Amino acid sequence: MNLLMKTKIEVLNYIEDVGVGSAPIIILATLFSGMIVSNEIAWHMQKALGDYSLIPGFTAQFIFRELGIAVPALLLISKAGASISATVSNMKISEQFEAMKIFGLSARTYVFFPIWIATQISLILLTLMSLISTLMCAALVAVLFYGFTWGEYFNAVREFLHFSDLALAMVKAWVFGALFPLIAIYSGYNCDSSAEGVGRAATSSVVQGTIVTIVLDFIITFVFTA
Amino acid sequence: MRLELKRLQGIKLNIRFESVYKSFGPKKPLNGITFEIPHGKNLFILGKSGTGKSVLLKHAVGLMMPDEGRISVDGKSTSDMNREEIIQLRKKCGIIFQNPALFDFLNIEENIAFGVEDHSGVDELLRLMDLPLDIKRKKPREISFGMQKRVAIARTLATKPDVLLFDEPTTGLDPTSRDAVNDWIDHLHEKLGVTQVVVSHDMVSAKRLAHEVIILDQGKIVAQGAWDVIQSSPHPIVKDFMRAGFL
Repeated sequence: MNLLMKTKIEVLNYIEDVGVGSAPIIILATLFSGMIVSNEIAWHMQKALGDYSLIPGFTAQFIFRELGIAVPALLLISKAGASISATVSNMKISEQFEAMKIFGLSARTYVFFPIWIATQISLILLTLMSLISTLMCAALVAVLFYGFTWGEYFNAVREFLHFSDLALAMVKAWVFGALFPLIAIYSGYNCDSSAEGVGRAATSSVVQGTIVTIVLDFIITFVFTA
Repeated sequence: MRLELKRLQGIKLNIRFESVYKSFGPKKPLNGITFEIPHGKNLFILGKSGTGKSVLLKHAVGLMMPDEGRISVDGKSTSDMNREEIIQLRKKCGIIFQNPALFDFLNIEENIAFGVEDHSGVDELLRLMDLPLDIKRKKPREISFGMQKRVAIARTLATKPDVLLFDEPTTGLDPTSRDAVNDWIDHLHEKLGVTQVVVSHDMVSAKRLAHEVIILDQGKIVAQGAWDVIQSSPHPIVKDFMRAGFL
């Protein structure tokens, strides 16, 4: 089997492991965050304007610009970031990387590159799913409790949402998906060779990944909106 | 890939350490080491934990480079070798790590063929290592630790190495498994006539298998020679070792 075919298979395996494996927890979390944001914006609208008519537009924009991207990214960092870091640490401790060097092959090609590509694809797809599920649940709350019909809700959403909002969401998902596996791989590869070291590397990768994601989220949003 | 067992016999690869120094901060695992790996024999390098045995092995295959001194392979220093030459050296010197170091993401067949990208000799290697053929599709975690060690040897043999380097092959094994691994080291020497270097602190295995022994302490060679020579050495470290090994 040639290297390209092997890499393709590994990317698909990691997408199954990282992406498909994380989908249920991300969908569950985003369903509830959709309900929360719809309720919260309704409360603010009522307090500020005494009117619910802007709920769909504000909710949709908040979901497409922040909530629908940050929630899956942070959940994936917690779940997959720790897992990637622990996998890489264990490979290091069990001398698998040195064994690869002996065969003249690179861990970057065989292990790190497939993980890196797979997390990017996974996070982009999970973000798309998250945007849909969060918006649908936000709409459900608006229909059930604030007197909207489905048609009214999505007509109002169309007034507020633009293609640039979706583009921003995809750019963020791609950047977060490209960056956190690098942090996880680096933490794992540089861990101390002990069980404690593996744990520390996993924790460190989640903490660093979370902080970097939040900081980048601000910078990307700021650049796009400016 | 055909194993061609006879190919391994009679190949001479001269690996020589000349005044090799290596330090990691205050630690000096190699502190002026000079020796030559004897061709076609079992060389045991013994020493307590942390005396630089594994570091020495990694220098032999270019995984580490010395701070001072020279490691020459057929007269050429590893420090002067380019990347391609280092890769060729690593293929000639098969190393079997303390852990089996099998790749988790590959099955047993892919692990064995990893260094050669040719699966035609996998069955022959499995038979040579007395492993059942039905493990080919299994992942490393699905077979026992002892089997994993034998698969690791098979993977190394697939590249037709001229020298086999074992890093603590019996560490952490029960006496029965230790005997089994020693049987394989003996078997490989008898069947393939290959030069073998075994890094260990297992005196029982050394007594049984070694043609030549080197004892390391604090990065230096404190005794060297055949087992009889080592056994009669007056050096206190060697005597301690003999006592600890009940020999």
